[in-house]
Amino acid sequence: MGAMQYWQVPGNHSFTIKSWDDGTVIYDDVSGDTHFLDVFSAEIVSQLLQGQQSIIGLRDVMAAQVEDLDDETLCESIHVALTQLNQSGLVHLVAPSN
Amino acid sequence: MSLPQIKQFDYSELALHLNTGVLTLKVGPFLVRLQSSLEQFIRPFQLLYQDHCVCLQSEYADFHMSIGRAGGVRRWLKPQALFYFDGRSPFKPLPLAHAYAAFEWGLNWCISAHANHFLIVHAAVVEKNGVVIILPATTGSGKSTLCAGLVSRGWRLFSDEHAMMRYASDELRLYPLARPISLKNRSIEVMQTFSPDVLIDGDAVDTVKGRVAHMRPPSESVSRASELGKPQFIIQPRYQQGVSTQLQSTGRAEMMRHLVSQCFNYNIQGRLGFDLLVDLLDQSSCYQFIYSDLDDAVKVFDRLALDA
Repeated sequence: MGAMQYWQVPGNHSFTIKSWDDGTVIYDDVSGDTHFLDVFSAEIVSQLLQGQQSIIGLRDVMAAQVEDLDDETLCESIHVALTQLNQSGLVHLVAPSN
Repeated sequence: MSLPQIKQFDYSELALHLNTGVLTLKVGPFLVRLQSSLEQFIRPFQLLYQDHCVCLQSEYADFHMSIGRAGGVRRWLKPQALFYFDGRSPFKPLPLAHAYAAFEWGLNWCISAHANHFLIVHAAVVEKNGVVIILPATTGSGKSTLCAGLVSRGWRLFSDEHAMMRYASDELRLYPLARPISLKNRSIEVMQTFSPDVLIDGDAVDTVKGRVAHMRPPSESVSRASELGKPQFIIQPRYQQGVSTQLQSTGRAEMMRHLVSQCFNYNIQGRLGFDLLVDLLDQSSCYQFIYSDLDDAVKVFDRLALDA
């Protein structure tokens, strides 16, 4: 699952974010795309906007918000969400440094 | 100086103005230069736009349209009407009996495709007691029937087809576009029964949408075309046979998704379009509305207008 790989939001993108009770919309000023995120995915983006994180790091931050999920299930959910966010161009893996 | 209304012309005068292409129709914020010599267009146009103002010497128009006969051998065998925009015909010809529908659909296209100084959502908009309600919906959802029902019971018609919004003095405002309401198939009879006094004309059968006719907008809605509106409700309507009327609150993120899907020009607007929709949602309550009985539906909306 690449738990120690780090994820980040693209540095060259500027996002406008609006959250309501039932979800979040993000406007990407660079691509012009509008993204619709559920609360869980929006929280991941919010965390990554504060700085790059690994799946384990995200799990630690988000565990308190989803107490009913065990660590393994939470990591899987984060991985699935990151994959979808990556496909949308909202996050990507940090390139390994030499 | 006040402009003349269509109803001030008798048929021959109106036909002459349309024939010579000097008539510019004022409809909402738009000026539409019109040319046609087709009786199949002029007769319903005279009835359905009777309260609209026209200019006979306007040098400017937003859209230049004409409804003419298609040429070729077919014109003798099976006459057809053709819609022209700036001298070009973007669509295929229609049977001559559909000339009026061709005009309405052509005007819809002109606005949807070219009026990019507005964010335009495929939605009806109505107002009562200052309460403005947007009804975004997909085709076939019962939006126009509901809109026609409300308008026939005292609601002001902003638009049956285009919710046009932009910032005016930094405030989000909706722009009225009171035009005839398009009714299709069974909704024509529904409205004739629901409100026998309304005028329905421009009947066209066997169109790509089935039978189509148009309901004349109320005079007051036309005369108040310059009074902008501040939206308060966004209600997604859906007709479902046999159900009891249901008005259920829905989330703004879900409604945002629906509005984006119903926008004609969201992608063209870029960040401005996003900001407009977010502001619209922030200042509006959002609902899903399912109905089958038009009387009940009007009562629910009347209650909203009273309680807001």
